[in-house]
Amino acid sequence: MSLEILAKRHWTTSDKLKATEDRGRHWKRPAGGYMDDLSALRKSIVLCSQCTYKFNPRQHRYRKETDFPQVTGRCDGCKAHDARCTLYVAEELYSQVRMTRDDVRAMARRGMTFLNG
Amino acid sequence: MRFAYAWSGAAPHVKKYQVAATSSVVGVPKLIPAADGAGVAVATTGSLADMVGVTLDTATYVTAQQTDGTSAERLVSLIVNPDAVYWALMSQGATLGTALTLRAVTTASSDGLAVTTAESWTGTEYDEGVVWGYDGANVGQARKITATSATAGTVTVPFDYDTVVGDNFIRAPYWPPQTLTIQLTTNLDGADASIAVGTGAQAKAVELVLGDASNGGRTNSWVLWVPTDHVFGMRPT
Repeated sequence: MSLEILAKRHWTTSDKLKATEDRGRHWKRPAGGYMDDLSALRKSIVLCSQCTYKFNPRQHRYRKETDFPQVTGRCDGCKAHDARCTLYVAEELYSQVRMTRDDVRAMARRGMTFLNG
Repeated sequence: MRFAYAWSGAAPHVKKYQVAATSSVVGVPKLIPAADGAGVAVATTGSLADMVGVTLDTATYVTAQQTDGTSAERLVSLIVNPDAVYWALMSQGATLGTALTLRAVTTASSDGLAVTTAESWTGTEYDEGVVWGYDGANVGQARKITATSATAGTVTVPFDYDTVVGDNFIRAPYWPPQTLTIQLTTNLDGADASIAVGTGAQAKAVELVLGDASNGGRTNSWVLWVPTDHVFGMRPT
């Protein structure tokens, strides 16, 4: 009879968070179908420079983030972690999650007060 | 909340995480998973402890296998920069979009140092907050409140013109970069400006964008904030 030792693991904050992080698409899953699923669910999509040209944001009603020409993240297409990815946000959600330079300029034109303290 | 920029000038960093509850509103903060929690936790109106990021999309939490071919793993995309700055719309209460209350001057001030109204400035303490002109001669001018009483808010740097009866002002419990707390609205998508200075979640105000009568300032005034208790911060807690 073998002896089993059960040791209670101490989960650090980082461990807990890491355990809930997305591992990306399954390796058997084609990237194109995965993109279709993400866009159907209106998820934000991060694509690296080699994958971004394969995605048509207009066709899927997505808006490309242009204020920040690059974002850091794991590419939803090839799963590579890249600091030069492009972010696409569902068109109908974009104005709820981003305040662009143009939005701020419009506020300034309307005479709003900018206070840095 | 709307992402503005990263304090360091870095590009946004986006990560996807499993949720532990349905997340139907975008632009809301998520926290470190709770004990036995399946994913990132929902923030509360008064706590952003161990914040992970702010959502870019929505997710429906499920705890059973799905019959429609989809995975039970439900993910939400977060901007996880610890120094990210977000815009939060100020509301007069816990409901996002509630118009900020106008404070009408009832006694004139000949030196521009007091905004005397028919209501208390201490019942909900606004000392160390901001007061700005909504209309009248001081429209668009903002000053730090340095003393309060049962009828007035006092500033140290005077408004450029005397305050006169009938002028309207708006007050809020923030003064950047001194403010260390921001109370969130119930849907976690904005800032509840009806609370006392020093109340709320772990967030530092970095800028205020204040509206007046000419641009719908009662429903169009913002506080920009940065989290002060972030899981990827330099001083994790």
